[in-house]
Amino acid sequence: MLIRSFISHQWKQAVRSPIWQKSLAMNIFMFFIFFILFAEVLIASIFISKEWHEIIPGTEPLFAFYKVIAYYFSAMFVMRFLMQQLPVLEVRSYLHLPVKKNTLLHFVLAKGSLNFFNLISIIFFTPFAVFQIAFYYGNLIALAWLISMISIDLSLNYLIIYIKKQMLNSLTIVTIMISIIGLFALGDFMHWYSYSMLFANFIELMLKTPVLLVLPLLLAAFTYWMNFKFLSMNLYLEDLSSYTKKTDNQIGNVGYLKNFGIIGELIGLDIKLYLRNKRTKSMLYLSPLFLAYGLIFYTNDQYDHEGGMMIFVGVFMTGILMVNYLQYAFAYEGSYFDLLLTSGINFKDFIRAKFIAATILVSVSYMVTIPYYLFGVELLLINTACFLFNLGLVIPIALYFATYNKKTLNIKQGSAFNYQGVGASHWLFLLPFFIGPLLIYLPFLWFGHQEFGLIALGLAGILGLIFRQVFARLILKNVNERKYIMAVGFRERG
Amino acid sequence: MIQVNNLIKSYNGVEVLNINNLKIEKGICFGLVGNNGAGKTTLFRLILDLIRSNSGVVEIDNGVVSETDKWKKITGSYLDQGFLIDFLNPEEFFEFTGKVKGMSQDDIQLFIKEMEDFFNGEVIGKKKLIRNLSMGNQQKIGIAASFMGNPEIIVLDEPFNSLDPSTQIRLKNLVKQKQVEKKITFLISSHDLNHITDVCDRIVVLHEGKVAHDILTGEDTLTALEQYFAV
Repeated sequence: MLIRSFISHQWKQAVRSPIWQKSLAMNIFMFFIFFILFAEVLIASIFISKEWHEIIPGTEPLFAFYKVIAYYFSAMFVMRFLMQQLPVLEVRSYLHLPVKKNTLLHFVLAKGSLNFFNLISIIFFTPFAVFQIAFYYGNLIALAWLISMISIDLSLNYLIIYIKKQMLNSLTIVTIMISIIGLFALGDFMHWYSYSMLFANFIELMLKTPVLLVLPLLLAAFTYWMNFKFLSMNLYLEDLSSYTKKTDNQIGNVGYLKNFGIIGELIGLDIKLYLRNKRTKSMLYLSPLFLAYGLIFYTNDQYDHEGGMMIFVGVFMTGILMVNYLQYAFAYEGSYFDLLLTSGINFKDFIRAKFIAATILVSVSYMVTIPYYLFGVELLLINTACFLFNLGLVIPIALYFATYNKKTLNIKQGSAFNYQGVGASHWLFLLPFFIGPLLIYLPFLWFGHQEFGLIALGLAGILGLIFRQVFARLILKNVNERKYIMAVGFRERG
Repeated sequence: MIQVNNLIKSYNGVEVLNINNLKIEKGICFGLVGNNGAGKTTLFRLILDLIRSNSGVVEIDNGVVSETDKWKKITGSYLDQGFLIDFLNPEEFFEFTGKVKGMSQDDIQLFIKEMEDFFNGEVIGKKKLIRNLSMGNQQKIGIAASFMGNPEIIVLDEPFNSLDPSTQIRLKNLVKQKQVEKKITFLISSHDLNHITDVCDRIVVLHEGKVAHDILTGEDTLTALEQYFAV
């Protein structure tokens, strides 16, 4: 009964939210993408499972597949980490009712197991269990195997939920967990051991000693319990928001900015916004990771220092902080947008402040990437071109797109039940920024003149910089046209 | 001071506000009462150019609010928590608002001092961010901020809500005092008929988006209003 009303509330929350109704086109597009992916995986996995012997004609085709599973799980881990939405149930409205806390928690967690990734896993494993395992080990074992594989996937699911929750809660625990996982990955990378071999051996062992198939079930139960424990400890109102917490309120005060009038005040306000809200703070903590991105690619021999990949890395490193700052502009300010509208702040100043802060972000990111020239001077040239491109073009474009924001981002609730905007759509939004520079660069590369490609990229940026005022006017015009729509959207909280 | 002409606002074809002609003179305290959904907040939002009207305009000082920004320099307002920046502490918020309103650092300090009485010692120097304060204290901050920068008009939506009794009385005194001293025009909505008849010179009753009554406050205004709203 209770569960049924929860489900119905969730459904209503989803379809009645203004975002759902207003961005129907986007939702349909996302659905379409997911549908195609879904169909592709289904067809591919049936085909591959049936023909596995033909594909891998070696002596131990099954074992080879177990290795594939090992890589599948690690890829899944990364995918989930980047894209998985976290289950949300606004518990505040139920806490005071005579509802058992545990019921609430189980519901939230059960909801967490219903997602796209788990579905993919079922599609991925079932054909193989049917066509291969059942043939060698019999139906019963095949079923048990399937269940245990799905259990591993569920464990992954709950592990990710746990990590993502902790990420907004306590960064130490996340750091420890990520380092452990990183260490394992490093071990595999350095050939201290082979993760895929170990994993494949383990699967084979399970199949030969079926009692062991219970292990993944236990693992899934454990990760579930871990989440349960965490949530039940964080269910009180004071944990949900910074209800009673005293925050060090001097943080983010930059006296120097006071000399720059309104623009200085606005930049100062943004600095405080970043440092005093959980969501933006965790973004800042992650930024060193983004800047270290180059290490992965520059040290890898697979990528030559001319390909489009380097452009991608360059644009990413010099731009990601700025893009993150600008793409949520207005949405971060959503909770006081009415104040901005009535207080007499000139939006021209507002835009200028954003431009200046973004310019500083891009410049700092660029300076941090300069030492990468140690891996090759051409990298410095590439990153310089990417920096100019970000500076001149991406900044105004990102801010322009930001004027289409009309949902307040809840930045203060970092803890247990708030994960708005960390999902797939957020990454989709970024695509144009990464594809744009490639469109300029790649044609030159194909004709063998990568240096011209870089020059073109840099020139595009400089042109953008020259015409920055034009962009500012366009953005201002858009703000003035859309301010009512934005304000209405921002007033819908929660 | 404020002139409303043929103002219509509707949502999905349903008219929520329709005001033919409403003129608010300079220096008066204008009270707005009406049951939930009568259109009080809608009217205030239209006056402050926070929503777009379907037809008609609001003028402040002969300037259409949706066409110019000049009125923002002389208008202070507090409608709801959307007017607070909750990750600042009160001092920083006043400083920011003050700067935007063109006040100097000294002006701002002076202002905070002047308001100390109104805050009742619960707002300043507490080392707490606005989001960690109680509703009542947040309300005090928002109301106080609307007085910053020598406004000629102050718009307050249900300001007495969630204020403690002492602060309610202080607010009434503050409004009366500023009205006399600085000739500020006040626009105040409230559900509390006592308070509103106490401070306002003119009271408009809204009903289903239309002006149902327009009364200059006199001795029997409270009784008349109570009768009007009696069920």
